[in-house]
Parts: sequence; structure tokens; C-alpha cells
Amino acid sequence: MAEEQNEFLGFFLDEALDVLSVWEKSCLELEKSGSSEAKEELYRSAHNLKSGSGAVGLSSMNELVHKVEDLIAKILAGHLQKTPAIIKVFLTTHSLLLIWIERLKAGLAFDGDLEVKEIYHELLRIQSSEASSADPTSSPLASTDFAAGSSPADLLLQSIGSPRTPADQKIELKSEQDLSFLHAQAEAKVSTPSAKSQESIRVAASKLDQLIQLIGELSTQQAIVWHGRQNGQVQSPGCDNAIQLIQKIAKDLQGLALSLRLQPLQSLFQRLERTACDLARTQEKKIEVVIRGEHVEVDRSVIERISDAMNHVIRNAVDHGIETPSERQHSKKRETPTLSIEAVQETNGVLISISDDGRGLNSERIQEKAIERGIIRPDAKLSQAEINRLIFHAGLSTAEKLTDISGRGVGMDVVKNSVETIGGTIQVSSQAQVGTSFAISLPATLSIIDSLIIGVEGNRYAVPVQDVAEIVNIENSRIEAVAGLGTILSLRKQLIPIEPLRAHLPPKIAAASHRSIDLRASVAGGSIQPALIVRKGETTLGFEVDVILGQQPVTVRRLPHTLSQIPGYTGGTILGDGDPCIILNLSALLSRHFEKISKSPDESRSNSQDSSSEIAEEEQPRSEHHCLIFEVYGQELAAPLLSIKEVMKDLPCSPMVGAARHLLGSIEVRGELLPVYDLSTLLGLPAHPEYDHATDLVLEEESAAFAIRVSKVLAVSDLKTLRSPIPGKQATIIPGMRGYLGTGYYEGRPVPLLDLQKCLRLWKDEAVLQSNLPLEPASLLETP
Amino acid sequence: MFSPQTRVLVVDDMNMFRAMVRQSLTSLDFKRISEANDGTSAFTALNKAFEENDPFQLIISDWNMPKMKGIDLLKKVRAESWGKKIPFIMLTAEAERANIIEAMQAGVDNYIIKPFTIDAMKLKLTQTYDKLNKPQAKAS
Repeated sequence: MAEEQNEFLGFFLDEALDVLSVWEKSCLELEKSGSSEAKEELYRSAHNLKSGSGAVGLSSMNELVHKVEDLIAKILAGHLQKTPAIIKVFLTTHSLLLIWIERLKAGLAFDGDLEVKEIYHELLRIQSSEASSADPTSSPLASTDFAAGSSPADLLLQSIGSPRTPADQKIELKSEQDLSFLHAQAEAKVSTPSAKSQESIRVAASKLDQLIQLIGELSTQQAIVWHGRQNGQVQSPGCDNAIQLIQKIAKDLQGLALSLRLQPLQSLFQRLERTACDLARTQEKKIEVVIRGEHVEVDRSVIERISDAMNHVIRNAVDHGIETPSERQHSKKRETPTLSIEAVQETNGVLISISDDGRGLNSERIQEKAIERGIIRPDAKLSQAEINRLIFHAGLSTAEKLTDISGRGVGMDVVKNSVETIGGTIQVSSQAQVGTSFAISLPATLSIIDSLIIGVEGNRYAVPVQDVAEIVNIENSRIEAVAGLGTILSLRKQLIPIEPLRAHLPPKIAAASHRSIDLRASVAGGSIQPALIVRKGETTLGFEVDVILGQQPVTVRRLPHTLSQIPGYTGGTILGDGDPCIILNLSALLSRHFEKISKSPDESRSNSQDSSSEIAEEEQPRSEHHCLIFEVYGQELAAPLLSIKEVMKDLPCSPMVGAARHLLGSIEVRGELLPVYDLSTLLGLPAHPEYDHATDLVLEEESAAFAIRVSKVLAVSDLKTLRSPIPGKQATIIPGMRGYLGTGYYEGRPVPLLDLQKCLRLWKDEAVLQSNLPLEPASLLETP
Repeated sequence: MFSPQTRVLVVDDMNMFRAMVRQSLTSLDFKRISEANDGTSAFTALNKAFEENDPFQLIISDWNMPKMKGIDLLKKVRAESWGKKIPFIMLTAEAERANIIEAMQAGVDNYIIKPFTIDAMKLKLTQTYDKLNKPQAKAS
């Protein structure tokens, strides 16, 4: 029986979502009009959920819905009148069930026991208030009757007596929890992409008929061609005709098949309306939500991936955009604010606009904040549109005070990201005191994407064009291959690290290739070495590829589980010549790349206070560093002058017994023994243990001094440094670029700027990791 | 037993329950199963099947559905000349047990309480068949 039940769980979960949407709709309708149809629909949805959950063995859900159904039945029978509290409990139950179902769909256990108890609580409260208003004398009896139900929660409630918390407070709490649930769920979805129940969609029978008809036509034409071939008449006009028709039918089939996944926006809009109303209610604001174009159809997966972002826009509009009733009265605006959600079909997709007639964006405040956070320069002159666009900048939140609802640090940049990930765009326009409007344009489908076909080690891959910011020929561009610091491309004054894409692809695939394509494209005037520049948020990375073969739309096919586990693989497609081809997600590879870096051992210590890195970070946006420029075996390097305490020359270095190769020995400075490190080995350059006229730079870390031996000091100079390839904290943790802070130009030559303390720390961490290397004996540097 | 060729109409507004019934029936070797998701469309299908001379020989219907409830479907079917003897099994939830009496008066042949197992479905079908053995034999 258990297996039987599981078999239907998928059915139930898919269907439950539809039922829940009816639940919500009828609930809102009931709140508005109280019509008997709404009551019946609500009853039926609760009833269906109850029997359905029971049938698949979800007994605790069954029990909860049963209790709610009882309440609805009373309203249906006219024994009870709807009250705001009752509507609220219906809606709360709805949200809870929605999360519950979504979690089950994602293959997770439901952990909202507390919320379930809250609902039981609320039901009990309604029950007892109803009993007391109907017949005051029998009230204790009535509530005991209800509480005598089998649920443990009931018994618990019975033992603690009547609830004390006001209902409003609970709702506020809930909305917060709602979101944390959703986040958890979203994460879970990412981590287990295909381990959930099979999804199913509903399709109009007429569409299926059309599909079958087209397939029928296709086989007819195919038979004509086959016949022609049998008779050696493939060249005949009849066959030509048939081949042309097959092409047309295939195109029609494609369009029709794609349309099967289309779904009206209605359910999404309904959820958004609900969000807006709920939020307005908790904030004691009035609101009128106007919905237009809910019948416009969009690919189901687009809807799924966009709904969180839309929700966020709505929350922002209600929370920040719409004024309180008194504020509106003060500015002589219509008492009830309007929030309109509208969809319009466009040639290549759908345009969704969300507009409110609230107070509009506060340009001054936004500018102030942006200056405060160093996003724009204080003297920058921005157009209104540019100011508006700042709200999409990471980390800029203009709320005067953080509220529970939308001041959670995740801002419009997250919204923008999720819209752009699926190839959409978002724009904002606003006028003070008149309102704000967001225009979100979405692609109609995710199944066909415009792609670049690239070649790497004899294999072809497809890369969605939207992922690539630009393509550069690094053969001609200036590449600064600084020893031990990786390859850096200087592109329009920005330094971009270049990674060979092949390093991110599984090597076996390359070995398994049976047909290798000649990928070295040569053009008159020399060979081409293309790199794809990928930007994600603040980070930029160039992926070096062997060749770019072309650009074409590809049909995305889902990969089997085993393949989709490979990082960066998002799908597969069949190319024009019939060969399969993997579709790569470069921005995922980029994040993975930087994640790997940030997980390096340095991370755990990055919060330790150390003066030089602080200076470096502060000075990052500025263009000048006061630096000491020195040389280690022909390699010019620089370090912030402030980090260096002293420069000592020609001090005898007494070797230490059994020391690691990075540790040259110790020098005596004013009666104190300092360990001396060899910078070239610290940097991963070839070791040069003999220094002719050695110079030691004395540095200090956590009040323990140490020395670093270099060949010679060249100069002290103000270096004009370019921004490091990865701004902010990540600058210091690029692998192969130990302690790299940026690149400056000294007499026209590029010089990497280093954080020497960090170099040493990185090395020490590595030594600890490898542990077979002996640590320096005198441990003068041991942190307390 | 009903033959594999017995034409069955399953009526329920929940896809899941239709699938459960369908699976039970398939496991009992029924080959000709149709579905409807409310009373109105069920009645249309029944009428059409009769007109096309390929009538349904078994109806399994849910009680609570939009548009037309199971009980109304039953009454409507029994009012038709072709529908007086089609075996009619009502699916109902525990809470609606009391409805059974109304259904019996309207001429239901058997009922199944949701949730049910395949075994329960088998048993109910056998029961129904036994009860209707003779008229069913005539029909097939």
C-alpha cells in the first residue's frame, strides 16, 4: 500500500497546487462578496485536499485540512458568518499548505509544526468565540468538544488553555517565516534538481488534436519521400514538394510543442495580488490591486523562475512605494492607492508592468546612499534614469528603517539578477509623488536559446549568447603574464583574469572524443585566440577557448541526471550535423571558480585585523598607492610602504636546521632574532636560495616581526594602480596570486602590488594543510 | 467478472483519484477506461457513447464535484432510457457516508469510501458484479 500511495504522491502534489489556487481565489472572493459560489468552491477545494492528502498517506495534512473544512462547512451551511479572523485563518492555512506542498515536491520533509499549531490555535479561538456568541452558557462544553479531537496539537492546546497571542502578531511573524521557507526551498531546488516527483501539465485537448494532426501530415509527406527514394525519383517535383512541406511541418510542430508548456499568468498574478493585500493589511494601508492581461501565456518554467522576484517587487511597492492613509491625505491623493499588475504579449516574449501611484523613488536619498557606499562619486552628475537605475545596485537599500517585509538586505539587485538570468530585462521609471513603475520583459520560452558554438580541445560546446559580455581576441590584446600571478588581460583599463575554459571541463570528455574538429581557426594576418568575457554582478572573468565556430539558436534538451551533475553543464542539444553538444553555463562556472577561491584556507583568518590589508582595501578605489618597489630575481614587485617597518641591507643570515625551504634562516635586528623568508618561493616562483647582496624587508604581523628577503629595492614611488580584477575582498585571494592587491605601472611596466603579510599567512596555512612540511621552529610568528 | 472490454467511465474532479481508479481498473484488466472531470461532461460523454452505439457499461463517480455533483449525475442518468441499468458506483469521502442513503434511493449500485486500496476496489467491483450478475450478463 505504501508504494501505491507514493506512486500517486506526484499526482496529488501537482494537483494540490491547482486546488490551492482555487482555494485562494475563492477565499479572496469570499472576503469581497461572500457569494455562495465562493463558499462552495472553497469547501470543495478543502474537501479535495483533505481526501487527496488522506489517500496518499499525508495524515497530518489531512487532519489539518479536515479541521479547516469543518469550519468552511459551517459557513457553507450558514451556521457561521465570515469574519476577518476566519478569512485570515483560511489564507494562513493556504500559505502554509503551499509551502508544505512545495517542500514535498522538492523532496523535503515539512518542518512547519509550529505553524500548524498556530492554525489549530486560531481555529480553536474561532470555535470558542463562535460558541460564546451563539450560546454563552455552553461555551466551555463546545470548546472541549472541539479540542477533544484526536490531534496531539488539540490536546496540547487544551492543556495550555485559551490562546493569548493576538492574531495580528502571528500573521506578521508568518510572513517572515514564509520567506525563509521559500529561500530554503529555493536552495533545496538547486541542490536536488531532478530528484523530485515528475511534474505534469494540463494541456487543452484541441492542442493535442492539432499535434496529432501535424504528426499525421508529417508521416504522409515522409511516405512520399520514402516512395520516391524506392523508385529512384528523389529529384522529382513531388518529392521536392514533400521535403519542403516536411520542413514547414517540423517548424509548426516546434511552435506547437513549445506552446504546450505555456501557462496563463493568472495564477502568478493571483499570488501577487494576495501578497499585496496581505502586506497592506498588516501595514494598515489601503490598496486596490488592478490586474490586466492575466490570460497572457508564458512558459511554465519562466513563471516558476520569476515568481520570487515578482513577489519582491510587489512587496517593495507596498512597503516602500505606497504611503500610509494619513500621508496620502496630507498630499491630497486619492484615498485608496492603486497597484496595477499588467501583462502584454510582445513579439518575442511578454512585458509585465507593475506600477503604483505611491510616493515614487526618493532620488535624493538614493544618491546620498550611493555616495555613502562609494557606488558613485560625490560630484557625479546623474540623469534621473541613472539615479533610478541605482536601485538595482547590490547592497543599496533606501528604506529609512528596516522593516520585516522588505528590508532584509536582499534588494532589487537580486530581482534584476533573476530576471536577467532567464534572459529578461527590468527597467524602472518613477516620478516623485506620482508613483513608480517597473517594466519587466521576459522571454516567452527557455527552450530555445541563441548560442555561440565554441570549440575546446576538439569538442564543441554551446554557450548562451546572453551569458557572454564580449568576445576578445587575446592574441592581439595586451596580456600580462606575470610570473606566478596567472594571466591577466588589460581591457580598457580593467584588469581581467583569464582562465582556460578547458581547465573547467571534465578531461575525460576530451579524451573520449572520436571525431576531432580542426579548431585552430587561422585568419589572414595571424591566428586568433578568443576569450569569452563573462560578468556576473561585480565579478568578471575571461574564459579562453580554442575557437568560436558560430552563432545559432539551439533547442535545449534536458541532460540525464549523471551528466547534469557535472558543474557548468546545463543542457544538451543536437547540432545541424547531428552531433550532440553540451550547453555550458559560464556564469555558473564563474561563480564556482570564485567560490573555490574563497574557500581557500585564508578565508577563516580574513577577519583577523591586520593593518596593511585594511589600508589596501581602503585604498582600493583610489588610483594611487604609496609603494615600495623591489625586485626578486628579475621580477619587479611592489608592496604598500606602510606595511613595511624597516629595510635592512646585507645582514648575515644564519641558517636554521630542518627549516622549510621558504625559511632561509634568521637575522638579528637589535638583539632580536627574526625569521627570514624567501619571497620567490613564497610566491611559488622557482627557489633561488643564494642572494648576493640581500635586502631584508622587516614587516610585522600581530606584533610579531619577520623579514622577507628580496634581491634589491628599486624605489619608493606612488604607483598608479588599476583596479584589481576582482574588486573588494576577493582581490586578495586569487590563487596563484598570493596576496595580490592590484597592478600598478612603474616606469611604464606592470608591477603586481602585494600584501606581504598575506603571502606569508597563505603559505603558513598551506604548510599546515600539507603538515609534512616542518613549521618554522622558533615560531616567532605564532599568533596568540 | 466484468470483461476487459467493459467500457468504464471514471468521473472525479481530482486527477489523482481518476489515476488511482484507473490504475485499480487496469490492474483488474479493464481495457476501455474513459475519464470525465465533472458531472456535466460525464453526462455528455455518456449520452454521446449511447448515440454512437457504444454505451458505457460501468460508471464510477465522485460525489463532490463542480458543475454537477455525483448524486445529480446519478439522478440524471437514471432518468434516461439508456441509463436505468448502467452499474453506478459512487466514490465518497468518509464524512459523506450519510449521503449514501440518498444515493441508494436514487439507484446507486455500490459505493467506495475514499481513500481506498486496489483490493477494496476489486472487492467492490466483484460485489457489484455479483449483485447485477444477471442484467450484466444480458447486457454483454
